[in-house]
Order: sequence, then structure tokens, then C-alpha cells
Amino acid sequence: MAMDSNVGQARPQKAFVRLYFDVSSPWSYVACVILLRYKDAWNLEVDLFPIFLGGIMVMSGNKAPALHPEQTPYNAMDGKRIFERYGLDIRSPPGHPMNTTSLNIIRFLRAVRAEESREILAACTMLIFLEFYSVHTDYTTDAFWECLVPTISKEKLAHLRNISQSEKHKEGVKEDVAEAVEQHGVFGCPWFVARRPQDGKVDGFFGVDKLEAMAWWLGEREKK
Amino acid sequence: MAPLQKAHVKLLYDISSPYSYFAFATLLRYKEAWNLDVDLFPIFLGGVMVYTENTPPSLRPMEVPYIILDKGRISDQYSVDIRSPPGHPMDTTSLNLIRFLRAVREEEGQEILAECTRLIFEEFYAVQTDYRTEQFWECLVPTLTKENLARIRQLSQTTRHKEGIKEDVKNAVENYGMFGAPWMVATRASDGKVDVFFGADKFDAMGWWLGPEYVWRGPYPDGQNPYPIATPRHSGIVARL
Repeated sequence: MAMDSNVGQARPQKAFVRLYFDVSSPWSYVACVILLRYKDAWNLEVDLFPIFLGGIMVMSGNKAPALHPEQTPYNAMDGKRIFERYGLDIRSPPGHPMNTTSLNIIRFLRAVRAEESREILAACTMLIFLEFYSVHTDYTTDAFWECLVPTISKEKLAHLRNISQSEKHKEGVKEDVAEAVEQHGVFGCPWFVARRPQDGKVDGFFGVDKLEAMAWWLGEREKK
Repeated sequence: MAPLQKAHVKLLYDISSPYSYFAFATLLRYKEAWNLDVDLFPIFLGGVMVYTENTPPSLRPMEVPYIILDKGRISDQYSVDIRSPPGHPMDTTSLNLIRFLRAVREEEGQEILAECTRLIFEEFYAVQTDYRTEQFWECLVPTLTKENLARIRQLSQTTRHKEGIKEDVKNAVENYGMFGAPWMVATRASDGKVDVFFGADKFDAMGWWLGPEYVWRGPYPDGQNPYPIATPRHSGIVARL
């Protein structure tokens, strides 16, 4: 076995983190970015998992933050602060979130996750977030999808868009929602499901503000 | 080194809110390190909920298991012993406690208020003495003498404080946009700007917003845990990947 060049620098064992995210959720964008920034530093196996938040809301009986009018000013202000801090250009496009739907985008990303590597999924996710929140290309047009070329070729893009509209992925999006709600108690996005290596325990974390708590929990030994 | 200028932080909190307890404990731990002028402000969260037509988390059944998990985890991470007493939060009310703390704030000032708040939080969440009994109030002796305690309790039931907590709710909602607790209103020393932060996990963001010298170091500003608790550790939900 090769000598570890980082001797003396304790490197954590690899922990597994699945991130449930939706493109319709700006906080999901922040969570994706931070998680990928910390992937190496925290030695994480990151499983980006696109999920249809509209479905989560219906199934969990939860109400979207946008439907709590008293919370809108605070959420807008808090978002602005967080986006500035993390250096992200996040501005809601016209009609977002009440008159937009991420259903087709989530179907597409689901197909990417099934067909392509994690790296390609991460790249596609970032490009779509950027196109949606910074470039503001109308997501219902073909021009929107061009942001993914050349990360994936035109042919592959057409292929993935095509299969994303198959029964497999249309139904798959619903099954994913049911699984997330029933198995992990998901009622919003972003939602992290982490498994720590030292004892195999699994725990859920809701919201970007929970990353620090997750880091603490990942490093925590079970105490008797 | 602590920042040279004092930043002002008003903490709007309720005894009924366990996350208020986390925020209260954390804010006081950072008081010296961040050179904060802390203004503790007890507020009746039930009133805020009614006024803003918000639903408390405990009335959103989907969220309850997660909140129990999250509370337990923070309790371990921050070494604050928080276990909900029987009937909490649906069959308890903090109304009299908030009236009382309002009177303490007015009569005794911030230092005594901090100590009374800490003792009441502890008695409610850790010792779990029934808050409706006389015995509950004994936790405040000798921070307050028996005579002073009786006097403030009596005073807290006057129209002044009964009406006062309603006005406080109205002001908090209208001036600070409050819709939940804990709610922190911070004034930045460098330019006098005011901003608000909702929840117990906003200290990191608040430190960033206050300026580069407000470094967030997690639950313990000096890196050590001086607050060990001896309760059984909380455990997470069972889930499979």
C-alpha cells in the first residue's frame, strides 16, 4: 500500500450525503454549491438527487414558503443575504415561483442521474441553476436547454430529453417523492440525508443553515 | 480579539420555544467574544402566531418528527438540556411567564433578567417542574428575594403588563416583521444598519453580516465545552438509504 502523503493530517473517513433538491428552490441552489465546495474538504460521497418539490408539498401536506405572505419579506431579505455571502447571483425569474413549474427539469435531471455519471449530473445541475436564476432564459423554450451543450452533446441532450418524458421517468418522479416523504420524512428542500462512517447512522437535515450541524454530527461518535 | 465597538442585538424570545433557549444560551456565550450589547426581550409567541396568522411547527404534523430529531441534535451539540415537559407545547402556555419576565425587564434590568430567564428555561425544560405550581417559582430564589419575587409576580398581573405584552407583540410584528421565535434584531456597529435573523441557526449568518471580526466558532466561542450535561444523549430517527 502506498504511503499516505497526508500523514499527520487527519482525514475523515468518507461519509455519504444525499441532497434532495429542486431547481424551483433557490435555497437548493445554495445547498448544491456549498455541498460541492465541501465535498473534498469533508471527504464526502455526494449523491445529488433531483426531486419534485411540488409533489413533496402535496404529499406531506406542507405549504410552500411563498404561500405564507407574512414570511415573504423576511425570506426575500434572508435569501439576498445568503446569496451575497456565498457569491451566488440568484434572482427569481418573472413569475417564479407561483407561475413556474420545474416538473420537466426534474424529469430531465432524473434521466441524467440514471444514465450519466455523478460528475455530469453535477455539471448539468449547476448549468440549469445558473440559466434559471442568473441568465433568466425562459425554461419553457428550447434555448434554455442549450446551456447544457457541450457538457453533453446535442445528440445526447436530445436523447435524454426524450427519455425523460417516458413512463419510466414520469412515474419515477412520483415514486421518488413518495420514497423521500415516507422513508426520510422530507417536507421541504434542500434536504440532506447523511450517513456517517463510524457507526453507519443515518440522519436528515433540512435547509442550508443545517450544514454546520451536519458537519458536527458527521464527526460525532456515538456516546453510550 | 473582540470587536472594539459594541454591536446591539435584541433577542425576542419565548419560554415556550425550545429554539429560543438555544438562541438565548448561544447569544450569552458570544456576548464577550463579540462585544455585544444584548437586549433580552421576552415576547408572547402565541400572540405573534395569532397576529401573523402563522401556524406553529407543532401544528404541522409532517414536521414534528424532524423537529424532535433536530432539537435533540442541537441539544447534544450545544450542551443545552432541552426535553419538552409533558403536554408541551400544545397544552401549556407561557403567558404568565412572559408577563413575569416583562415585569422583571422593567423593574430589574438586563442582568437579573438574563439570570431569571436562564433559571426559568432550566426549570421548564431540564428540571421539568410544573410551571403552574408555586414550587416552579422557587427556582428564582435567591436571584430574587422571596419578597421581590412576590412583588414582581403581583405586578406582572396588572393591566400595565397584561396590556403591555399585547403591545409588544404588535410592535414586534409591525416593526421587525416577526413571525416566529427566536427573532434577533441586530444593529451593526460600523454603519448603524439594522437587520433581523430568524431561528437559532442564524448566528453564523449574523456574525458574517456584523463584520469580519465577528468570527463564528460554533457552540463554544473559546473552543472548549464548559457546559457539559449529564443527560442521556438524544437519538435520531431510524431511516435507511
